[in-house]
Amino acid sequence: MNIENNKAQMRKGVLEFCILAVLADGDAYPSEIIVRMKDAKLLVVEGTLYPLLTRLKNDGLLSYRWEESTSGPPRKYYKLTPVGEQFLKELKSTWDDLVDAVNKTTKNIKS
Amino acid sequence: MNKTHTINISGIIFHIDENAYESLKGYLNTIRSYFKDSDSCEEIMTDIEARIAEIFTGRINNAKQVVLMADVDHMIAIMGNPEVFKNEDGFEPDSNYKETSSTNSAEPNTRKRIFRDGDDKVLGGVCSGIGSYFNFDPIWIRLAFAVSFFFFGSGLLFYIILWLVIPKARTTAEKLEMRGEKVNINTIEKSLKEEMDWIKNRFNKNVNSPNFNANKSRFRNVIASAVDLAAQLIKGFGKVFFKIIGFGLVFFGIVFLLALLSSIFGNAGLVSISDAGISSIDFKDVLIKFFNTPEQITEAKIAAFLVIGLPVLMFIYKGVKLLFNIKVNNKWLNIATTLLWLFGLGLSIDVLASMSHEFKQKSVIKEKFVIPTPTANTLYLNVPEGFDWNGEDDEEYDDEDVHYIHNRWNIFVNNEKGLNFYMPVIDVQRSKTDSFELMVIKSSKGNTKKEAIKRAEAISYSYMVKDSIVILNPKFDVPETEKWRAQRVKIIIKVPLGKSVYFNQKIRPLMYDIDNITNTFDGDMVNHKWTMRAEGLTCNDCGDVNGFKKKASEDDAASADDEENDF
Repeated sequence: MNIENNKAQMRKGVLEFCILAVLADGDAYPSEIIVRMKDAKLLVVEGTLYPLLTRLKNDGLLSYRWEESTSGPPRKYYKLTPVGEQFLKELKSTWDDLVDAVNKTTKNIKS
Repeated sequence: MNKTHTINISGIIFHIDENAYESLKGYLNTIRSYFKDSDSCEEIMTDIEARIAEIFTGRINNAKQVVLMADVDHMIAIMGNPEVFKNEDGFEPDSNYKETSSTNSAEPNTRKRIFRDGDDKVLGGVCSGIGSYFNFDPIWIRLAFAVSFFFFGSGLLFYIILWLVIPKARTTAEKLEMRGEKVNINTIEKSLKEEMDWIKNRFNKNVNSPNFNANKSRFRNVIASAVDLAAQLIKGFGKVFFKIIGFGLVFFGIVFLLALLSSIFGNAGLVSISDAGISSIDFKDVLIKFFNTPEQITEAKIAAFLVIGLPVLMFIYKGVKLLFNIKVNNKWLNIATTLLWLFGLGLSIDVLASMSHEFKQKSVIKEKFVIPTPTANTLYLNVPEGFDWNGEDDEEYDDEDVHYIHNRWNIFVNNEKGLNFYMPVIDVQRSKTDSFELMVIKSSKGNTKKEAIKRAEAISYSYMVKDSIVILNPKFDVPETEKWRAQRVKIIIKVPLGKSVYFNQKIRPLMYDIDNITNTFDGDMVNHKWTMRAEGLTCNDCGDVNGFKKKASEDDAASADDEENDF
């Protein structure tokens, strides 16, 4: 059993949820999203974010607009769509239920 | 000091150190191979490149203008290794991914692919893309295309195909892939060697892998590696095989396209080379003789181009794809070509339908002349003096300055006057009276009975009777402006009972299946005297009848009386 692999598997499931949550606070471009995610130790590298954002956008959960940048090419600012907001709400309640359930079953483990 | 390259990432120009350039190239290729099966590959690559450009912009300033290895390493640290992507997002890497990345790290040999170069384009960047692929100055390729545009536009069509089939280099990774090494013996040898080494390494790796030793069923593993190796080899040969097929498709497609375009839009036609010289039927003249209006000719040409030309173009398209290993499937192009082809088919049906009307009605005009019985009771059939046929099956002959081809369609080609001469046919039947008779039967087809009669009347045919000699003209004329509507002339020589007829050698090409009791072929009837008896035409001086070839018995089915009307 590879512990690193297991951790990655766990992170994978909640990654999209967190991206949507970050964007619920306001529009952002990938580098800003990454800063927030890194703080939460959810993501290590930026490269991971691009395919995820593209997929969420293609699923209609996100939209984007271009904004000029002073340091480099124009930036893509992502924004939650109404579908995305609804989706986030559902994920949130599922997550809360899950956290409750997991906490109840794992409270015997001493850390 | 290191060489620097100038590259364009997301529209920003960077100067980059040689080592850093190789590293960046390898990095982008690895990411690309990782996402290449995803539909949004282009978009992801564009986003990543935009970010790379941003990171690089932040690392250079007036004092330090060149992107160095450290900058690339810094960027990779921020962006992360594709290995890590695999763990953190939901993408399943494709099966080739590991192999590709491991070979990439082992040897900086990047795959070369063909792209259109949007940065250096005149039309679509096709020429500069090809130039990059073969390491040629694009100016020569442009020149070659420009010249080929004059070959009935075949170059233009080929250019459009390449434009459609070759993808545009969008991302930096693609732009880097686009620039290939110079192709020469050394590089071919090098790439072959690399390929062989790679296969060998793979084989060794499989044999020496820890799994292999740990696994108890060694034998199975050996088989597996052997199968794997064989699969790799087959894949390698398959690649070469498809390239050869692709080249063949492109080459023959272009040759065929040139032939088609030149016969539709040019003046090419059927050319015949013989002892008598070179003669040709001008395709344009055939069309004018056959079709009613110039509009109809244009319609027929468009129809021919769409029905025959489009599949040829598609073959070239497939060939280019195989040749350069391009995997694109343009649904709209397929739909558009199918629709255009069906449109062409519709046009062809329309043209054929309207032309078939032109041959609907048939009219026949018969003229009968009584020939005074010659003193020797024998009629000698011949062509005008001085007239000479050349050849035997595909008879050709020269008549002063006019050169003819006689073919099985009975069309005479005249180099100066076009297709105005036609050949009559001769038959011999029994006369119902006591005298020789000569019948000239002219027939033609037309849209209406009236039109057909008018055409039949316009046919002029001349012959001459000099006592026992009948001089038959080997051709009949129709007015120069007349269309070709199956005009025919048949001459029936009616021989009374007991009288004879002699066929001169030179009349042979005009003879058509003349009935006789020995079923002798037309070709064997010449230079002999034939007498009309109650049973039919009998040879007087042929000697042993068995010495002659028999005609096929089914030829006898048509009776002599029917022949006139059957015409």
